[in-house]
Amino acid sequence: MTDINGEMKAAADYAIRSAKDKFGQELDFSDQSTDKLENLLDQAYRSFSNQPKDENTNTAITRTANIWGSYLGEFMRLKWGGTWTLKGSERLVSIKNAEFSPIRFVYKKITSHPEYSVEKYLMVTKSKILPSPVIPKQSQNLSENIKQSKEQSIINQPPKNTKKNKNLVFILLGIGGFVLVIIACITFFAVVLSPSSLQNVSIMEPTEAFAEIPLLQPSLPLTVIIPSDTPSVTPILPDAEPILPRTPTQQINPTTLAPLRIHFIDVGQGDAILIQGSGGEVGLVDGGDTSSGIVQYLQSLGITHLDMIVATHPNADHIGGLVKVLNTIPVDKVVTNGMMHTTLEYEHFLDAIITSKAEYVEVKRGETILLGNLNFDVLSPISNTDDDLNNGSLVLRLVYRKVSFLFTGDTQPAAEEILLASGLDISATILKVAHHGSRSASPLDFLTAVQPEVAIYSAGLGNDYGHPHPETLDALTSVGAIIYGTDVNGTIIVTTDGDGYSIETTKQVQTPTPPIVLPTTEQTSELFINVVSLTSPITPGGTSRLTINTIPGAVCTITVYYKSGASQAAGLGSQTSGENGDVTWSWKVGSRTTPGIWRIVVTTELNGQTISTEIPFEVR
Amino acid sequence: MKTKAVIDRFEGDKAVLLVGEEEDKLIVPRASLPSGAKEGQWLQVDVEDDRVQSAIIDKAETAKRIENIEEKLARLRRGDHRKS
Repeated sequence: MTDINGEMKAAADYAIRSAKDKFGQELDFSDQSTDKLENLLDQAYRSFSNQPKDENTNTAITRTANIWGSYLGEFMRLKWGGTWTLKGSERLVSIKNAEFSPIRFVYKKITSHPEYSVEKYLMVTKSKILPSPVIPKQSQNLSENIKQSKEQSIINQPPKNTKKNKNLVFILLGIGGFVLVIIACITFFAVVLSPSSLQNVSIMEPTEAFAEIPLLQPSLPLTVIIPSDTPSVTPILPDAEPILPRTPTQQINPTTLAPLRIHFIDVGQGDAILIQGSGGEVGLVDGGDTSSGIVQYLQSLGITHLDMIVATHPNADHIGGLVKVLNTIPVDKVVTNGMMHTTLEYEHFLDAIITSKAEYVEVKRGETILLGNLNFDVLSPISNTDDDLNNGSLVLRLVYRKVSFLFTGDTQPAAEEILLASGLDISATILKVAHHGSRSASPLDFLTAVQPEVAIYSAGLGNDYGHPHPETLDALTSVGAIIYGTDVNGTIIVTTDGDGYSIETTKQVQTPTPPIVLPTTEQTSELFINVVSLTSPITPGGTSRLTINTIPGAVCTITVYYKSGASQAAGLGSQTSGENGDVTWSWKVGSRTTPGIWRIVVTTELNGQTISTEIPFEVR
Repeated sequence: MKTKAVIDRFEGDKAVLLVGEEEDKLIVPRASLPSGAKEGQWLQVDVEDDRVQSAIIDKAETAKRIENIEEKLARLRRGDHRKS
């Protein structure tokens, strides 16, 4: 058995030398050095983001994660004591009674989660090993209440250890979005981690000192099966972030499941969730906005009848699509929270219910919505008198044997805190993240009580509001959830037989990112903007589309200038070009638009370099 | 052009307006709306080229819409729509 602590120290020393020699950064184990590490990781992320997905790249990423992760681990050990331990192929830092995987953290940060922060990771780590210095007293009490109530209702809950095991197996098999984001950097590899620079540091050779972290290949199927009663791997204590075990221990054949299927449908900016019970019952929770394409989705599945529609609250991005559904497909029952809106869209929704002759039901906390043999417990709101429509969202919990779901609509902290204080069981295996992942929802104490294994948010790519917000993603990560989003994963389908669950997604993840110019490399290629297509001329009231091509990873914005100034139409948000460099915007040209030849200004930014171009655009 | 619009919701410091009968969705800075503007309020807006030039709260329109909606909701709650 080799001396792992000695190895890791040597690896950290190598990291320090690399930082100094290649990047001019002083990593000296001071608190300030974590900022420098953060910068180095950001650089690595940007460098890897724009490279071909191949074996060389995977190797380079793994080595990079090992190098900077070793420094981070040593930093943690110096600060709080502890030792390195080897678990399977993974090097963990064991501090007091907790285990951490700084290498895995770095790996995720440089491949798929640039928003992760070293500072926050260390904060969470600290909170796990020291007696609750971060959690305010009140929240602690609340958590205690929740815990008690969970124990009382244990009959509905998977045993805790089972849940952990599931988590482990799940993570290794799937990681849906995260896994598919393996991107490369030959440049970085050549400059920083070239074989020559590794020669005198034999410890960095993966085959010797560093067994490869298992990298999940993009070719792996997106389906992940999570058996809940998997034989236990050594129990892993709560960690600042999930740890990957090395190999799957068990895989269930999906065909043996008698499944409940829940579709988190990609409807752009909005929510729409389809529930297909094992007895053929079908329900829909929200329908996205008027352009959501929800009807086509239902029709593509051969759905010609809905037992139930739930509108969590009456904002346009939740009920707009329901109007079309009600006008197209027979619906037995419509369930709402009873809160009214004044928009035409809401009025159309009411009209559509009236015409459909569906039963109309309003519910609040304490009631249960039945869909076949599925029971959706209504946890919020308490009444329909809230001033804030989002806050009044229906929050529903569905327990399907050992697998539970929490549907939150756009609920806000005010309601979430009331729900927490109620002591009701809000734990869920799968959480539909509130309000499209907005920072305005999902406070950490709420997420801690939910303790989701999987968190799914629904948001449109390049939406106008910046959803999901990084703060929310951080909080979800810190409670150990695997995150999926309809913006990056497309439609996300969870299948469960009540024991395990599987997750399928329709889109492979593209990482939006600017590659950066490393200090020792030459300038990369010049920025450019090519117009691929534009709907022009267009008549007022029509929908226009613009597609441009630029360097992958560039941040692109457009502004449409009419006679009176910049358009405020929805859909003109800023976007990052994907792997092929394409970016597409789609927006409605208002019916009041003055005819004429106007201009669209496209700006792309990469590595601090910015270029703009003007495209003529005719309205007639 | 003067027209009517309704505040569908606020998203952070932005407001989502549904403008006119076509319900064109415009996203405007919350600060550009009159102070005291609330979700569900109707506005008289001057919209030119997908851009809100000015907005004032239209209390009468809001009241009219509420009355209209409440009447429909009442029908639904009574289940009248299923009787005929």
